[in-house]
Amino acid sequence: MKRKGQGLILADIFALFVLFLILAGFWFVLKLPELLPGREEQVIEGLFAEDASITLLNFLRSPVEVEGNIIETSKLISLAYRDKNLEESLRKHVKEIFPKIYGVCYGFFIYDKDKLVFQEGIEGVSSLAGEAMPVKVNLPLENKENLIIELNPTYFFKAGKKAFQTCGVK
Amino acid sequence: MNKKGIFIVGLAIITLFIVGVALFVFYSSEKNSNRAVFGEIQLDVMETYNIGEEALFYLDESVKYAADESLNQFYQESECGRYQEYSLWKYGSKECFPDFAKLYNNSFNKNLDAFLSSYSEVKFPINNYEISIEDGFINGKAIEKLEINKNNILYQISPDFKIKVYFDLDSFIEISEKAKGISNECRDNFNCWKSKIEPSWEIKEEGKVFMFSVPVQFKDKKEIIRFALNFNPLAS
Repeated sequence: MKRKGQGLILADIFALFVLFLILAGFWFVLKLPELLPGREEQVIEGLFAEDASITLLNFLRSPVEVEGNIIETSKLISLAYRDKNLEESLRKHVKEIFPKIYGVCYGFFIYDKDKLVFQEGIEGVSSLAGEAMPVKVNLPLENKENLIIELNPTYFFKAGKKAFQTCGVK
Repeated sequence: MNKKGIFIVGLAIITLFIVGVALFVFYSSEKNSNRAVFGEIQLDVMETYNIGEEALFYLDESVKYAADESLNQFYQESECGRYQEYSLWKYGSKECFPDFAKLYNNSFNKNLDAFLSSYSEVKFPINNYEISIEDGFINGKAIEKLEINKNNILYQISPDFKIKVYFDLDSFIEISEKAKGISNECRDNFNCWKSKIEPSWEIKEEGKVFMFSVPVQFKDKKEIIRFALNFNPLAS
C-alpha cells in the first residue's frame, strides 16, 4: 500500500540526482582543458621541434671525411643518392652524430619525392620515450630536383629521466 | 505536505543558477586569460626564424650548382649570335666583345632562379643578385630582401652569400680585351693576327671570318673559349 509522502521522497532522490549531475557536469567542464592536450604542453613540444630543426641544419652543414676528402654532409647525401657505394659512409656519419643527442630514439630518412631512399634509426612516429615530431629540410640536387631530409627524434619530456635511460642517452 | 521535498527541489534550482553563472564567468575569463597564449608568440618567432634558416640552407646549396653551371655557359653567349660552334664577337661593323662579368652575372641569376623556383616553402625574389668574384670567392649581394610572413610575424633577411670557387673571371676578361685590341690594330689582316696572338691561341680563317680557340685553365679542368670575328663588310 502506498504510504503518504512516499512520492515526495522520490522527488527528493530525483532532485539529489539532478544536483549530482549538475555538479558532475560542472567538474567535467572545468577539467576539460586539462584532459585535452594543453597549450603549455604544445609550446614545449614546439620548442623541441625547433631544436631538432637547428640540429638537422647543423648536421647537414657539418664536415665529413669521405675517401680522404673533407666535404659537407649535404654534399655526401647528394653523392650517396647517385652512388650507392657511399651510403655506408653516410650511415656511419649519421650513427656518429645523432645517438649522442637522441640515443636510439631517432629516425633519419631521405626521400626522393615520396619514395624512401635512405633510412637510419627507428621507424614510426613514437616510442616508449614519448612523442616524435619530425622536421624536414629540402636539399636541391644538380638536376634541380629536391631530396627531402627528415629527422624524426623522440622527445623525452613526457617520460622524464626514465625515457633518457630507455633511449640510452648518457 | 512534506516541506523537506520542496526545500531540496528549491536547492537544486538555486544550485543550477549558481553553477550557470559560475560557468559563464569561468568561460569568459578563460578566453581572456594570458595563460592560454603563454609562449605562443615566442614559438612563432622561432618557427619563422627556422623557416628562414632552411631557406638560406637551400639557397647556399643551389648557389654551388648554379655557379658551376653558369661557368659552362656564360662565355658562349653573344649579342652578335654564333658562327658554327663559335660565338661571334664581331659581325660586320657591329662589335660584341663580351663583358664577361655582366654575362656571368646574367647567367648565374638565370641558373639560380631555376633552382630556387622549385622551393615551395618561401618565395625567393627572381634575378636578385649582383655577383662579384674576388680572391677565389663568389660574393652574391642580394638586391631585394627575402620576406617570410607567418602567423602575423614578418621576418626579413638579406640573403647574401659567399662561396668558394676554383675559378675567376680575370682570364676571360683578359682574352676579350686582347682580342678587341688586336682587332682595332689588325682588322681583317690574317697575318697580322697570327703575329699578335698568344702561342696558346688557335686561329683559322674562312674568307673574312677568323675563328679562335683559346684554352683557359682552371684548378682541375680546362675550358676552351671559341669565338669568331666576321670582318665581311656586307655582314649585317
